[in-house]
Amino acid sequence: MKTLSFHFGLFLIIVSGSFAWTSPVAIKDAKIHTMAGPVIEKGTIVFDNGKILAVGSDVKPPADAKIIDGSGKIVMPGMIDANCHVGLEEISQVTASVDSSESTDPVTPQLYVMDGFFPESAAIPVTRRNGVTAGIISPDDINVFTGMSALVEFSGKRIDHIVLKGPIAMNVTLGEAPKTTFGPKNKMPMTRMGTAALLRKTLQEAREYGEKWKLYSEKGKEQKKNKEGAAKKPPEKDLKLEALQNVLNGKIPLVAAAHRVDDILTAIRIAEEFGIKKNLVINHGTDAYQIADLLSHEKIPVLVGPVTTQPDRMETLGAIYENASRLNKAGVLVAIQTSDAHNSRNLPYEAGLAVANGLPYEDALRSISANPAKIFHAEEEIGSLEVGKRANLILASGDPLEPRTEILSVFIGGEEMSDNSFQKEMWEKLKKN
Amino acid sequence: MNRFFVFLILSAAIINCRQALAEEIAIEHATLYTINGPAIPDGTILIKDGKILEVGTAVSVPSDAARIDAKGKFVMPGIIDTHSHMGVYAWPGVDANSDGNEMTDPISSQVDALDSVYPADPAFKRAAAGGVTTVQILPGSGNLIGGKAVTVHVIPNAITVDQMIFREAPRGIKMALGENPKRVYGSRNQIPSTRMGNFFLLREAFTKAQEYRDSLERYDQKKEGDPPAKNLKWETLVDVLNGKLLVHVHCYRADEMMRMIEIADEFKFKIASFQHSVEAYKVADILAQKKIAAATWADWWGFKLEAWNAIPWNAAYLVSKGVIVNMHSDSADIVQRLNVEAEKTLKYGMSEAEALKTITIYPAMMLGIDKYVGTLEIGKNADLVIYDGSPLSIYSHVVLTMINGKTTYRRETPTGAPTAHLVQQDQQ
Repeated sequence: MKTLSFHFGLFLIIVSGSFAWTSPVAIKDAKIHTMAGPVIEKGTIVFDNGKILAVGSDVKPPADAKIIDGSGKIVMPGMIDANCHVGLEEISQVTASVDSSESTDPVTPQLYVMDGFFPESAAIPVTRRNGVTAGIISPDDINVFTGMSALVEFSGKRIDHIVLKGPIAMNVTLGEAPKTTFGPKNKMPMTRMGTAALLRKTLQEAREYGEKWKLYSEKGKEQKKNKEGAAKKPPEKDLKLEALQNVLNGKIPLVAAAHRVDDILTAIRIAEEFGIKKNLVINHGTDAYQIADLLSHEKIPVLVGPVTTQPDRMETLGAIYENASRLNKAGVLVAIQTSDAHNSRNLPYEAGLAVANGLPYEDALRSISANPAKIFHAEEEIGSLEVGKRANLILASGDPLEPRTEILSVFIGGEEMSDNSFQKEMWEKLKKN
Repeated sequence: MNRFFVFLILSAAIINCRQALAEEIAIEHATLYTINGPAIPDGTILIKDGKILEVGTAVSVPSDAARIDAKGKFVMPGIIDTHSHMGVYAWPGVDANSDGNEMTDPISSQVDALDSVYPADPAFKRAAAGGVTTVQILPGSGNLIGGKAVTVHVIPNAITVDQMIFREAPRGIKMALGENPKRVYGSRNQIPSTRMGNFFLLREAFTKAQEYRDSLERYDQKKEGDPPAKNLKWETLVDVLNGKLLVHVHCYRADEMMRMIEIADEFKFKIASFQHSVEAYKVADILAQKKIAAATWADWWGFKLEAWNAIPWNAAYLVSKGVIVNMHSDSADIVQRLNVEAEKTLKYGMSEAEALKTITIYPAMMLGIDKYVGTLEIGKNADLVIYDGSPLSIYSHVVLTMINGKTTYRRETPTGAPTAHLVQQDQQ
């Protein structure tokens, strides 16, 4: 029996890939931002087998631990980009390398980003080097229903080892993008009315579809119980409407990309009509600060960003740098995001810029760690440094939100990541010549 | 009688004007990053007639000077950006505002960005709020020769572009290599659709410009027959051949830089700068030897194939090899935070002093205006920016921006929302 459980354990280790027979690692005497309580001015964090074993100011590292001196340095959870396209867009203008937008049909809820994700993307090590260890990978905001996103770790490992949670959310787009994509093709939506109508129509069909299947399965059970003849023919499968069931039954959030206040309100109105307002998340929310009290009252989180959004388009004319800080002050749960593939590495500086514009420092750190984890219901796994959580953390030479700061070590699932990247390789080559 | 009144009013106006200009301004107790020397703690700058009168720790301030107490603050020269499309792609970015690329002929030397600049572009206000005082506005990169570039003072609320032009600055011309021109015309099945096509058309254009110059010279010598017909396209390129225009070449790849240098040598003109130059590190020694400057970003990469070999060490490495580098924006967004872009390079080997030069004196040299701006030196224009913290920090705010001694931006309240205020103005 003992042998059996040993083998079973070994099997798990091989499958998960991120576990190894290692000794624990302890980072000693660092300033630790746990995101789960006050800052530990001088403390120690111990992790092993991918999980955090201990964290605190009076923690003694185990005798066999590999010790890293953290004095004068900063530890925080690995940053999470709450909305990015890393792995979906390798070279933006080379179509063959871009899989971020299936803009052939305005309604594509059945798409799942992991079917387009490139795990060997050169952007992953580059992004990781600035302290970003995971991201919500979402399709580009083009279609009305763009598809399902996933929470992906930036370890660069094989595709079966990097998805922390997925599908994690359903994504929809309001405002300019759908109507300017499909309008010129004389296809609905050509207007905001059209977008709203497509949202309603699709959700209504999904609801009816769900009811049909529920009825079928209940009837089936009844028939079985009453030992009646052959089962009724099942309803026809529809993968689009199937994908929306988890949204309608509240299992995954509905993330609505919207900039203008009226577009945000349209998203709230439709979510309310379908009873899923409590699972609604606003993405970008450029004008959200103008209705901060309402969003706070309705407990609707906002994925702000990028913080550098400019009043350079019709739907972003209200863009201000203080969006995140105003929302946060009103009590809205705020995450910061880049909406980018190559610039996801600038996530810490997006948060730093939010601090410069009024967001309290610890809240800024939370907006790129604990808050996105909470918004996407992954807070049991990541986002803060607590015993039992996944050891995704970074060690920085100083303030991680300041561009001059060097990220010294990056741990994902307790494993120290290489700082090598395509860019670093070219730099090394240059130095040799 | 009437004339006398007019004279009176005019002289009163002139006197008023003189008085306004004669007023001295003293910025006191600041840390001064003069750029041409070490930082001066607790220093004073005295400004008169829009020029820097004195800089240092032992400046005697006249009793009637306007005083700005900058205790705990940092003063440096106003930021200069060699690559801007503000005004020619005014916000919001709708077709009606798209005036930066005359993509009807790959050789469009006859057009001038000056004729497209819309002074009411709200981006100018945000650039001023980012401490920017001078930008070169260029045509886009859809054409091989995109047209003339113009250097302007970033003056928000200007009514006409004439109020913004940096009069002492030589004019520039924009050329573009690589993907953009061949994509624009290739997609229409027109030449250029390849890099071969790009370089052929450039050679052809300069050959024609040479012939045009020769015909003008022949006519000047002999004065026989009709003068050659004016050709504005070749006229501009003759100015290139005669060294009257600074040549700024949009170019990402190192191999294309080499081809372009060959053309410049063949037609005997000088390249002032390569713009974007993400692969400049591969030919740093040649750029240093040829005295060709490089304008680049801190970390942009991957948005197109020719930007694939961009590395964040580029700027620091180029500076270490003696190349003049500008941390440029090419963006009405990034232009607001060029100090932070400069800060990014610190992590890749740049010194603080050199990082500040990449947004001040180096771009001034690239635009031929280093006699007037780029350092805090006696006699130079009072173009400066005051920060409430180190300019090389993401947390620092611009407190005040000044051009020729006149305030172009002032942060109203220390914790307020100046950008929101600006946007409200913009929307009116």
